[in-house]
Amino acid sequence: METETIHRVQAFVDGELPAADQALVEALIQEDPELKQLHEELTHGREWLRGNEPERSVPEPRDFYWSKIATGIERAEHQEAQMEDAAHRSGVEQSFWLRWLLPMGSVAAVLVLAMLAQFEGPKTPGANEQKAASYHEVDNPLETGSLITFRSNTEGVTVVWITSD
Amino acid sequence: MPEPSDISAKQDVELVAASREGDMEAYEELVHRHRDKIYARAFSMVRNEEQALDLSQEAWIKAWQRLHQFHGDASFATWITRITINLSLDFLRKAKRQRAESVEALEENSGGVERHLPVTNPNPTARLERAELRSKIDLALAKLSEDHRTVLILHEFEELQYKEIAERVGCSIGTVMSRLFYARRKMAVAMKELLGEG
Repeated sequence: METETIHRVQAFVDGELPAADQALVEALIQEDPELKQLHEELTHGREWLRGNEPERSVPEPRDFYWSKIATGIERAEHQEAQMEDAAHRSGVEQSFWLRWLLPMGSVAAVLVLAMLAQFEGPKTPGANEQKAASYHEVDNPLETGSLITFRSNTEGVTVVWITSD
Repeated sequence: MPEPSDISAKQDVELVAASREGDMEAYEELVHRHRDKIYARAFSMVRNEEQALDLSQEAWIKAWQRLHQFHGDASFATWITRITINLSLDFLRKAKRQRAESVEALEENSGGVERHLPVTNPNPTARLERAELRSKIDLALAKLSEDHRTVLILHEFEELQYKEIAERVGCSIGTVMSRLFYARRKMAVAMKELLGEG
């Protein structure tokens, strides 16, 4: 017997077959003695299994069993409280550091950039031409006028022209 | 503070509501009412007394933490049983990762072995009292592999559909069907042996 056929009969017994297939499988079961036997086996097996889950009692006295649960609940709640507290403290510390570090870091970054801009490498032939090539323009048109930015990296100067239409 | 008798007269929903407010006494009553069922389900799945105890207690702790998620769509017993099942499945997954699967289990799980098992149709209900039948079912369940036992328990006792089982176990519906059929046949064979019919 094909695995697929077995599964279809099983699905029929378990009520999991699509409605469209039910009549077909039922007819096959009636016609084929082997399928009929399989159907009986599965139906009977379900009957003696369902509703007969083995029963088992907790092998500990009520108080002892409960005390472990109560302790576990207390521990879990304590941990949860600690985590919340830690998260809160971490948030406070973070905001404290952010309040100071952010502006200080920004100032430091500006200073470093300014120093780098002041620093000039060794003079080599043709260096002035290279510097000239590094001059660039940034065109930034506005709706009611125009804005032109001219930046010299070597001189460390930025010139902005604003013209109105 | 209510008398113990008052608490035991309350319905689960009332106890859940009180527990949500932090009433540990109410929660203890819930534990007392359902602890055997929860422990039995954990044991059915992991087949180890100590682990089943740990898992069942963990389930009660988790349930306490998640009481706000219980909306009463199903009964409290069903809800806590599902938590137990999920914890048991996690436990089995971790345990499985730590050991290599047997060749037999791999063959069984790959499907197609259904055809090689003989038709077995024992008749335990005709000969056994219910308690005895349950005891024999327990012994037969112990003979199944973890994968087959899990699918059988979820289908026959938890009454989940193929699709739900596939989602929980993390496999295809085809694999669920294959494992379920194999588990049923193995159970029938084991039951026949236990009844002395084999």
